[in-house]
Amino acid sequence: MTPERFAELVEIYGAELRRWPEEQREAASACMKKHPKETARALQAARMLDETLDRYAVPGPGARLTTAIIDASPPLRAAARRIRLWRQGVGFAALGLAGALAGALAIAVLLPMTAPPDENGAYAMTAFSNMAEIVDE
Amino acid sequence: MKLQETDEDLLARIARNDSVAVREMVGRKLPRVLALAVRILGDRAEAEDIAQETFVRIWRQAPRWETGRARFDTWLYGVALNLCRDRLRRRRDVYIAEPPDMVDPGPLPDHALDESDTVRAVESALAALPERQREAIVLQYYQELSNIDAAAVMGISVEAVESLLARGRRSLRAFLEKADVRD
Repeated sequence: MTPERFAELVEIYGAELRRWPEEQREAASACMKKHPKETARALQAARMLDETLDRYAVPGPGARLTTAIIDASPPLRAAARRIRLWRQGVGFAALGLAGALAGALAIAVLLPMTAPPDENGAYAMTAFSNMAEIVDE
Repeated sequence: MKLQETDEDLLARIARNDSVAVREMVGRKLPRVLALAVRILGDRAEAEDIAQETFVRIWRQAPRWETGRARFDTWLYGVALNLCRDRLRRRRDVYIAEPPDMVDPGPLPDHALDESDTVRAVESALAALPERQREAIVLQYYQELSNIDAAAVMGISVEAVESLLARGRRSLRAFLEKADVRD
């Protein structure tokens, strides 16, 4: 590699050989050894630019973004759906139980009111209200 | 030493509804996708939208991914870059329809308090580059893609990437010298 070609590649890829095409690195290293002054001059300006560019770091993603992306994935959405369905099932079961309890309570509270403890009256309202007659016969 | 699972292996696990693989993929790729979008768009909030949309595409692609047809990173950065291009196009349409009253390329004052002048100057210098030059610099320099991969992501030849890089670096140097940024 000639110092001119080296300078061209520095203009394209910067001062760090690790950013150069792999197939050029060995020849570039050899050129640096063979032409230290010319290559050092080419590298100097590129290195200044590289160091300035390196200072523009982007802070990593926050927890809110990471969680939003993970939650939107099919496996997590499927899991969320399963949990939702399970909760709905539990909710329906609880609702049914509550309904049964409420019904039982209503019967317990309301029946004595609609059926006062009148022995004769209560007896008369049953299917056995004519039992006395049957026995008499 | 445990070898790291390949991206393709992770995709296959994601396709089988493996939530651990989802977290692994997000941890592995999100920081770089976000950094790419931030540097291309110069806007963190918009870049986060792009990152979310890019991952929606990954989740959709996982069951259909064919190993060996393309490198996953090339496909991934191509998706992110195209979404950024769409966003920039929309931004230009809005500017044409409603020209802004005042153009201020600098960040908001409260941001400026937290960032060094150099960082702001580099942000402004990148934003001032023509779109293709900025893409080439971001992909090759910041994302550390090879010239071949950068060319594949941008859909152009390696020679074209090299030309964009050389012009981009010259423009950046001129901009930063003008802004009097020194090491």
